[in-house]
Amino acid sequence: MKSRNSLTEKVETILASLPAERRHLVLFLHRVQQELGYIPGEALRMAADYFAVSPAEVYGLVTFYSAFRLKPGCRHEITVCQGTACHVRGAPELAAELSRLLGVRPGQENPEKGVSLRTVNCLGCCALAPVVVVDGEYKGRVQKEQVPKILEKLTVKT
Amino acid sequence: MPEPVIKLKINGMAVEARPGMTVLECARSHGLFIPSLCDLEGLPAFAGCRLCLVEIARRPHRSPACQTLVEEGMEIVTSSPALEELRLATFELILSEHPYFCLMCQEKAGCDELKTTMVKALEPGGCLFCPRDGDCELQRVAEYLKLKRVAYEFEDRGQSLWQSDPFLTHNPNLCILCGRCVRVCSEVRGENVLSFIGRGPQTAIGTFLERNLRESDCSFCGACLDVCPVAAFSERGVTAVRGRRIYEHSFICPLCGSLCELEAEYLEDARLRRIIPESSGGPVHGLACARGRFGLREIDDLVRGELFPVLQEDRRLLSVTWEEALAAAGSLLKKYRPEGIALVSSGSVTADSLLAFYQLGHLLRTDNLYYFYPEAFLDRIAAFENQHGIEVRRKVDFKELERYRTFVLVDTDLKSEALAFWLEVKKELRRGARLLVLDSGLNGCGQTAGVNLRCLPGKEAEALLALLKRVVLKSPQLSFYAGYHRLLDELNSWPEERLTRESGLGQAELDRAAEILLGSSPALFIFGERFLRQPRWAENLAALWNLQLRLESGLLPVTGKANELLIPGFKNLFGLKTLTSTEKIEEAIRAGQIKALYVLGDLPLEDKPELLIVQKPLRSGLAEKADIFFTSGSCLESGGFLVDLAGRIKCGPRELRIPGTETRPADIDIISRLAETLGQSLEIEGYRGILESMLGEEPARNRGGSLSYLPMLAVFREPGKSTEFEIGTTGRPEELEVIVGDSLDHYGGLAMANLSPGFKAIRNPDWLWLNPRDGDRLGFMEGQKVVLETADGGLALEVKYSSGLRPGTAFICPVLDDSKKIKLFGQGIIKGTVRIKNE
Repeated sequence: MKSRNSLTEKVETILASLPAERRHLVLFLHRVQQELGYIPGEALRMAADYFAVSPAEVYGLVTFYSAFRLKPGCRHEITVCQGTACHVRGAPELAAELSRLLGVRPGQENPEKGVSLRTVNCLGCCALAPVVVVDGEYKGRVQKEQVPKILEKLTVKT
Repeated sequence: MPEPVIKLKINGMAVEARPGMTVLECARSHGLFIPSLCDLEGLPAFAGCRLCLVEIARRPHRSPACQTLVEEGMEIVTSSPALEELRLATFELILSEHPYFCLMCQEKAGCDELKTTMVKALEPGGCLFCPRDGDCELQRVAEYLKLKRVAYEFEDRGQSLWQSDPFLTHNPNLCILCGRCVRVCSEVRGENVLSFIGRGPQTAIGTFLERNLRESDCSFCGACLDVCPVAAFSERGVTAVRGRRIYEHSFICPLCGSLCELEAEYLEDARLRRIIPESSGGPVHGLACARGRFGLREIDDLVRGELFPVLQEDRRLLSVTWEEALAAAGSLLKKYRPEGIALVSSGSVTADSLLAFYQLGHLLRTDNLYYFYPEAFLDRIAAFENQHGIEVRRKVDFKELERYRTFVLVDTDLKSEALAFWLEVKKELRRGARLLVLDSGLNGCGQTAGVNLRCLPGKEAEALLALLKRVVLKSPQLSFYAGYHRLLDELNSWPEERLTRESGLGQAELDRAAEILLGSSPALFIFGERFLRQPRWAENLAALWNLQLRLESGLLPVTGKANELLIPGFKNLFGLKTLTSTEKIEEAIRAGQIKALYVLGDLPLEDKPELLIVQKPLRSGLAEKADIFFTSGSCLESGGFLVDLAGRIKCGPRELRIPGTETRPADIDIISRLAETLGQSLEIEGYRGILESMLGEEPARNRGGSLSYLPMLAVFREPGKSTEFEIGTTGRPEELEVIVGDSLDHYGGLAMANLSPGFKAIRNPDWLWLNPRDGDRLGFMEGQKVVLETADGGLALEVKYSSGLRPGTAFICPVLDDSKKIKLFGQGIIKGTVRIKNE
């Protein structure tokens, strides 16, 4: 009960910091994810009310962008870019390798290892292709051979 | 001035078009077919299916005809080998994700007769099980494009079906993502339930958090069924026609003031196949809601039960002929003195039946003519007008709505109470008009509103004054109507923050609402019966009157019931009296003043007079106690005149004709035959004229009714100083303020929820709507059986959550089938505590 209330309070604070115009909806979603690590359904409902957009439309928006997550994430989060530039420079192989080593498919999580893996459509830094983001840290020009090393660091951190 | 015309050429033919027309509309209006799957008249263009691409001279690319506006001198080619090849290729891509075996089966021609090919492919279903076979738009396009093969292997999306909603199902694997349902749901209906979710190959039609429709504020209007080009949305229990004979019967749904024209489809064995909106103007323009299209469908079997009247003799019930029953009723009525006879009507009967009924009362020389009217809506408006010498318009004029730039809904959920009106308002919203909702209870239109003001129950007057105060402060211009200075003085005596606090609204939302009212004018204030069914209704109306006068805007009451606008006319013509509760009648029965009672419709009475005659389509409720029960035709069996919320007379066909089935006589026929047994005759032929003159009567003008501000202090206790009725300010935390809404979900005295399990799942009159926060706070769960304790006794209810409700308030919508509920309904807002029900 208490956690739920503090959650609504946090969302309310974020809402209060933004004008009630629908163009601020995406910014709101980013801020909620930044603050809570994910976007709870209640926050979507509150945003719909505040920005005068239907809940269905908010949900459509939040599912359109793969950057938004609707469930709490794991301790570690690995994102592989699947944009055109990354794709031609071997992103699919990177994703497959990460998937094999972590034992999860993209879009899934491994709570035992505390790692979730996902793919996104473009991170906007194509010059660094292929790009992997590990816990918010961008790693450019990643080669398949570097993958075990990247994962090693994660285990040390835990 | 002649309308401007655009001249252009289509396929070398010189044609004319109106400005603003699309190429597709222009081509269609000249009888040209361009294949299209996503476009639909009445919906905004989407240009998603790419089948309507046309060639336009001097343009480098082909353009979608549905989204290209006509221009002077345009030269368009709608069909060429290159275009058809392109369309075929696009169509094949669409079909790569929709089962297509049914579209090119070589055995199709003889299939109905021979059924040679049960399984067309490994795809489960196939055309034999598709509810849209023969009526599918893909089939039409495939025929036009002469589809022979599809270059891609069919890929089943493998998504799960929507199976947990009543009345309809959705199969995402048949969906071609044309977006018609999404557009009709949000743009036309304002339901805002459906949306595209996901992206790329995962895109699908979905709801908020992928919940069931019944948990998504869906009102089950069925518009998605009407527009779906394939069988992605399909009505439960409705199979493809396939050579069967269908009898179409149009009728008017009498369940609210919208009076939707519906079409019932019967199979040869007289089973009702489905009810759909009458849609000669295209499926988007058809009007229907869950009550008419699903509710009446499910109760059809029940109301067609008893074909003959029932007579009670020595406590035995006998089914007798009409002659016998009418003769018995006639001779029994003759026995009573006129003052001992009373006639009461209620519910959804036709206007001509009402007229005949009260005329019969006159023939019986009784003055006890009543109409059961617990809303007392028009009565209160009339009383207010008389007291203050003002006039409020009654009839909705759809044509003048385009004048208004802001619509304010005050305690009325137009979507549920007046669908026809709501769709017209929604059209204006698409043209840029704004919507404000001020409602203390649940309001289905709130989701569409720019600002949704959920004030405290019974504090509508404070909310309106808080708005008025802001309007006055933000726009210092003077108003020239009489009494403005007095109004300013009065407003000055009430500090803004106190009005705001009293109303329970936030500063920011009130500011925004005032800005909209000032920035987008004129406004039309629309109020519903809930606005006046409150202890402080006169204060509400006075505050609203002053606000709309200051803004030089319009004021319009919206009547929820069919024929409601006739009540004043009946009062003039027959001295009809309205009943807000059953108490008066019960007392008169107990005191022996009323000895014979004739009820048209249903009335929840506990006591029965010496003679009780009940006439309605279903033997339930009061009819079970009746000495004589006249089983009359339901709205599906017989029609007549009905008056809608715009004061228009609509006429439904008199009789349902399906070969080999018997139907019951209409109300009006029973009444006029009864008059004959009394040696009298009713001149039914002249009824239309009488009804027209009743509606044409202007309310008595020149009562000194100039436009002036109403003195607030006379009607208004100083805000915050109300003593007799105090709500929302203090009180125990477990005490809730319960708003009693109006339920239109009943027919013939029976709640639809009690007849149809599907209806119970979407709108149950036994639901106690709570904000989830209150539910958590009080330790309830959704679905829990509870008892709402009020000063007038307890009600057994079930907890239902809605975050659209203000915390601290609850909402109920009971069907008025007993005197306790009528009493609660009459109060409008009650205090109550909720406890868990002990089984």
